[in-house]
Amino acid sequence: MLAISQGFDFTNLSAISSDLDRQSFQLPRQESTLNLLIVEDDVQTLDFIRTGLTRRGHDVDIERDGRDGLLRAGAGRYDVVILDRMLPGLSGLDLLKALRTSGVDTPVILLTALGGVADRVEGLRVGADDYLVKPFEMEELDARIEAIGRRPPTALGVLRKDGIVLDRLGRRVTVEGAPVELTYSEFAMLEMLLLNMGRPVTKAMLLEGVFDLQLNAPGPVIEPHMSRLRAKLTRLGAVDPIRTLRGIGYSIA
Amino acid sequence: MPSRLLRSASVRLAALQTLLFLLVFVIAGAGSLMMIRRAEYRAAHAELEEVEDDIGDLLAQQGVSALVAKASRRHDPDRDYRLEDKAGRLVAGALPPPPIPAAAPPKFWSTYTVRPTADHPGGPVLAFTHPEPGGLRLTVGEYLAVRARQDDSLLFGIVGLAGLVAGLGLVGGVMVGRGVQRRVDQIAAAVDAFANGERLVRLPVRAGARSDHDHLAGAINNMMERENRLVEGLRQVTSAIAHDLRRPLAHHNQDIAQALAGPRTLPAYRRALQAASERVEEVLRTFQALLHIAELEAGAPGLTLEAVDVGAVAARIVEAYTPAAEAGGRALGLRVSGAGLTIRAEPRVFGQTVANLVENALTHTPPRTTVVITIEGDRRRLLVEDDGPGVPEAARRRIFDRFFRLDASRSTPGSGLGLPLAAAAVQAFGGVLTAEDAEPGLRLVADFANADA
Repeated sequence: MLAISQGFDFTNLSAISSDLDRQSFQLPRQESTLNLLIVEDDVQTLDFIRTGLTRRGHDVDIERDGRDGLLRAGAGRYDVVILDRMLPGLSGLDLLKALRTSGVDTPVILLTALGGVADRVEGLRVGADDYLVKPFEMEELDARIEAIGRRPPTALGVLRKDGIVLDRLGRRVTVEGAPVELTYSEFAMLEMLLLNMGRPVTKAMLLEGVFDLQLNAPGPVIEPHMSRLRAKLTRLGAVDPIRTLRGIGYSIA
Repeated sequence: MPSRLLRSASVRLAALQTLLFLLVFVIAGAGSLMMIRRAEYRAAHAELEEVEDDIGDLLAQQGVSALVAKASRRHDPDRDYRLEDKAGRLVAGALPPPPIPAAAPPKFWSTYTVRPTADHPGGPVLAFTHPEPGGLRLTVGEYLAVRARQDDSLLFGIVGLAGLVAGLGLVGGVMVGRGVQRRVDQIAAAVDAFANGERLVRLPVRAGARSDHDHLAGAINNMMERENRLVEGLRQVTSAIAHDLRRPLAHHNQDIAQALAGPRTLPAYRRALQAASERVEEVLRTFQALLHIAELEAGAPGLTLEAVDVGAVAARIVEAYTPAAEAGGRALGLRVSGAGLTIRAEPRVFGQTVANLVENALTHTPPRTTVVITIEGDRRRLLVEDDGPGVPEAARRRIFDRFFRLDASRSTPGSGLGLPLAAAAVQAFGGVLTAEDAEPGLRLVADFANADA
């Protein structure tokens, strides 16, 4: 689950929003290396993930057994752990439970096989930060690693990009100082893009984050929302800040 | 056949019963025979003593001549007497002489065998010898053979009766056994035929007569019906999978062939790989949906159910789909009647279920269709209805079959698995999903009236 759940809080805290306004800062733009641990016993999947992530410049450690994975994840300082659901030695869910019980809150992305409705729900319940169903595209995994590995402090009250100011607590958006009326979902999408500034946000991530839905084809649902959001942001002549990444999703650079 | 008949349960039961009957009969018969013999022996003794007394009295009162006269008047076939003098010479009577023991007491009993003559039957004789006044000695004897013959005929009668009973029992057992064997053969043959692929074979069940065989036949018929339905479902799904997967895979193959035949440039290969990857993903998505359905149909073990506000979920779905609906020229609305509806479900799976229903309505209706989600709190139902062209009744019944698609929908995107998936999910949460005619349009009804609140 992505960190947008604060978006459901409609409490009007505009009184303090101006203070937060001054405290707001820009997210780091430059890509930096993330320390990743992959716990996966299937050689082919492991190779696929490791190659893809190494090529993107991350430091990748691997474990192929559940118990070794737990030791490594508990001891190492990882930005994100990518954990397979089915492992020899100790199942992914048990590993995750043990990790959370011992107070390690490293973000975990759970990988589940086809099917496994219960697996995924259970994975989130025991403390996974996100999950992906195999097979997945490298871009999807990469976007999710970026999103949770560089998750900004949730205290951020105001997000800015060029002329756009998004007040998370006041639930207000202004473009060049002029207020823009956004629906709840448009607001949540813009918020997600701004929180992940400089990184891709996939359509599946938006669908999950904003509507808590998983669909085979998220495009038809997300795209009309996105064009409405864009139309509202550019109505007064501002430049469209949202970039479409073909085959992946969107980003605000 | 005879050896099979012997192995049949009822014949064995009859044989065992007959055997037991005969055993009991022989033991009881032998015992009572012994007792009868003993009683007869005693009776013979008593009778002989009495006869002896009578003859003695006659002798004492009227003399030997009276005795001789009486003997010639009345002849008793099973008894005889012998009066002899001191020297052992016969004075009167016709009984052959008993052996006289060396130190014979005045009175004694003896048993000896005599040869048959014209007057008496011969055989074993029980005799009582008694001295009479005048140095005479009187022996009264009974030919035991007469009594034994009577016993024998009685015995013969009883044994014959027993034989008859045993025989009837066996014949009855065999007849019942034949009947039972016929039913068992029928059942075995039908089950064999069924196992060999004759799916339509059924066992006769006699109306009204609910014997254990009819009960068994009924149960087997039920099993075969159920098996047929399962096999039919499986066959349908298998052929549908084969059909539905063949299409993307064939296209996939064509794409690869085209790429190989086309220009040998990196961009061309990249494009081909991209397209190939998308097709494979389509196939994988189909499998994913099939697995989800199977899992949900099995009750989705491991799913943690919680109270879900159906109205809130529906509002979220309407919000998500409204832009898409409007972009396609359709309208999407939400109506809540009563005090809302809360069910026990897994919230994400339930959300996706409602999304599937809405997506189905938006995909398979023409532009300017209105799709409305209605929540009937009092009846515990969620309805998704459209005012489109609807679905003919015959097709409506198959709308939840895997891969079933209306001919008109062949060209629209979709796997033909959205509604089966929704039906499986609704069922997993204790509800029933049905399709109705909304006149016009289609109404899908998720009924949770019998689900846990």
